[in-house]
Amino acid sequence: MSVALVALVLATQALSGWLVLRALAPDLSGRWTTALPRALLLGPLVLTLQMLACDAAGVPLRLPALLLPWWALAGLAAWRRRGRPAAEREPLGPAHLAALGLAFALGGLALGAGLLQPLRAGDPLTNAALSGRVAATLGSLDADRILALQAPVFASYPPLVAFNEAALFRAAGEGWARAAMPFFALAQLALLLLLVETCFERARPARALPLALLLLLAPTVATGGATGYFDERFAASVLLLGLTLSDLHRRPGAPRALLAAAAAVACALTKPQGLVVAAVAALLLAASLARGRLPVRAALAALGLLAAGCALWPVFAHARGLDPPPELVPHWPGAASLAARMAEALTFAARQALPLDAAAWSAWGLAWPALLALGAVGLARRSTRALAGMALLAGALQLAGYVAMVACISIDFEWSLATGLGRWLLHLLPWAALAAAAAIEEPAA
Amino acid sequence: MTRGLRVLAAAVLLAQAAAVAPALVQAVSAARAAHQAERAPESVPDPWQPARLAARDLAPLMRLVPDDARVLLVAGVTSPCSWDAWVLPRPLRVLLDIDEALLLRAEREPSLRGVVSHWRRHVASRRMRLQPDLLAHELSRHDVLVLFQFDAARAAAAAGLAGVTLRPVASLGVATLHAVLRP
Repeated sequence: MSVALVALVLATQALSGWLVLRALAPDLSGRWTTALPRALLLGPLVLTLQMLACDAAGVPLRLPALLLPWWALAGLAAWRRRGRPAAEREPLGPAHLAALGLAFALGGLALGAGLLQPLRAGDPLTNAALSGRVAATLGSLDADRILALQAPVFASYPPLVAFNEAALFRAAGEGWARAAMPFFALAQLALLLLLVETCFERARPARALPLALLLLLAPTVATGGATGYFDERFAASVLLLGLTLSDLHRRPGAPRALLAAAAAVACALTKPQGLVVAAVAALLLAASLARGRLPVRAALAALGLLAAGCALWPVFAHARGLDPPPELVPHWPGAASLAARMAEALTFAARQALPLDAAAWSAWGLAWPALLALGAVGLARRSTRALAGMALLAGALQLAGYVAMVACISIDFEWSLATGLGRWLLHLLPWAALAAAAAIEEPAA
Repeated sequence: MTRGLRVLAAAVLLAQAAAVAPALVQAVSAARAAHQAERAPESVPDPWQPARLAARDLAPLMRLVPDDARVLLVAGVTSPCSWDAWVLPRPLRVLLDIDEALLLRAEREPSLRGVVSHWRRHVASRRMRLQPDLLAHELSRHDVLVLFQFDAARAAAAAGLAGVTLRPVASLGVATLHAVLRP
């Protein structure tokens, strides 16, 4: 395995994300605490779009063509900035540094644990790595070869992880199964850094640190990023969306709206549930437009990007014949069935989130009851009601969307809840964290 | 923050630390166990064992096979395994000598029922279940045969039916590579 080449691909993923962030939100790109997690999430998104465009144009996957343009752009940006002094930044306090240190320690643990258990079987292979291997070895997302694979494969699965893995696999050669693991550990790091930012963004360190520790020490959060599942990357993208939407009130304009849309598109290209997140994002952007908090042109640009980004993969996959398996084609289950399943899912979610048994305790500790209690405080305070309300509404809509999604496809509903709900709670955690962060925010003077 | 709130926050964080400590220990233990299983796949007979054995044995054997060779893999394996991941870019056909009793036992587990029925449908749709006449037919259409935890004598008998000869090329662990020679 070429470790240097794998490191170059990982660095390019972050660099391309940073360049996009710098174009959309220069204020966020200048400080590493905000730039690093966003770069780690936006980079794989733009590389996916680049690879989809190349694949559609019949250009084979080659690492130099994929990576060099970003380094050339970075060189150009550095040349244009030459001689300009770096902006003065407020130093980070000890509480913030302690939370960041814990985030890096947990990210390091994910990297170490991940390198010990390379990709071998299960969903990480079925949903992405097999398609990634086809793209890496054949130079394109050859639909005929994917459909001819002998192993079970979810060929219509959103391609963000598969495409980024393809680049890593190509760099790694025979060590491909291990080379993918830093990609997941970096997603975990992005999630942890964004959780820290959520806490410290608007609150005093003395209030922010306990909330950050509560979130980072939630067992499911602390131990993620080591097994090749996509949920940490997905949750981090949801949190990026939430943070950007909450920021949109302070900086209404096209750049933040486009950044929110990009985060939602990243969700849609990472997991099928991302379409639910994108629908929630569209609703919230439309609500901001309706309440006059977002200029019309900015809202239309963001909604247009969102719609195009979400349609991109389904259209591409359908054109290539990579349609979803028949059991995943949605059908209307009937209102009564949907309501019953919604109630069942909520009961199941409450059992998993509240520490009523050993399994729930070992998954979340006290994170959910504490976050929901703080969210209620945020909702009760007039000064933070809008932010907490937006976050809790978005989380509720996302959960309802998930249940509807599973209720409308022909797979065992109980089995889906039993195997998926723990991960759904991780996807919903960002909204609960934002609502809780609203509760510890300083009251306006 | 008032003193009462501080005490409450400290108590919640202590409880959270008590919840996360065993989870971290378990995550590290699981990673170390997975690493041990990687180093000695035979010692861990779980459903992922074939995948670990394939990573160990199949990948080095594939270095001896041209990228355009048509590969037939016959395995005495019942559970799903991503064989293609190690054989790509070569086109692959897999035949499995499935232990029906094992599948029936797995099907009785409620948590596995959905997975097993999906696997059954996949095996049926791809005609992956090993049968002597199907093996003979596939041997006549492929350049290379890989036997994976599978008896070479049974393959030789099928080769006789197909009118081809199997020439052993290399063997590693539980996998044996044969060239399929046509008259």
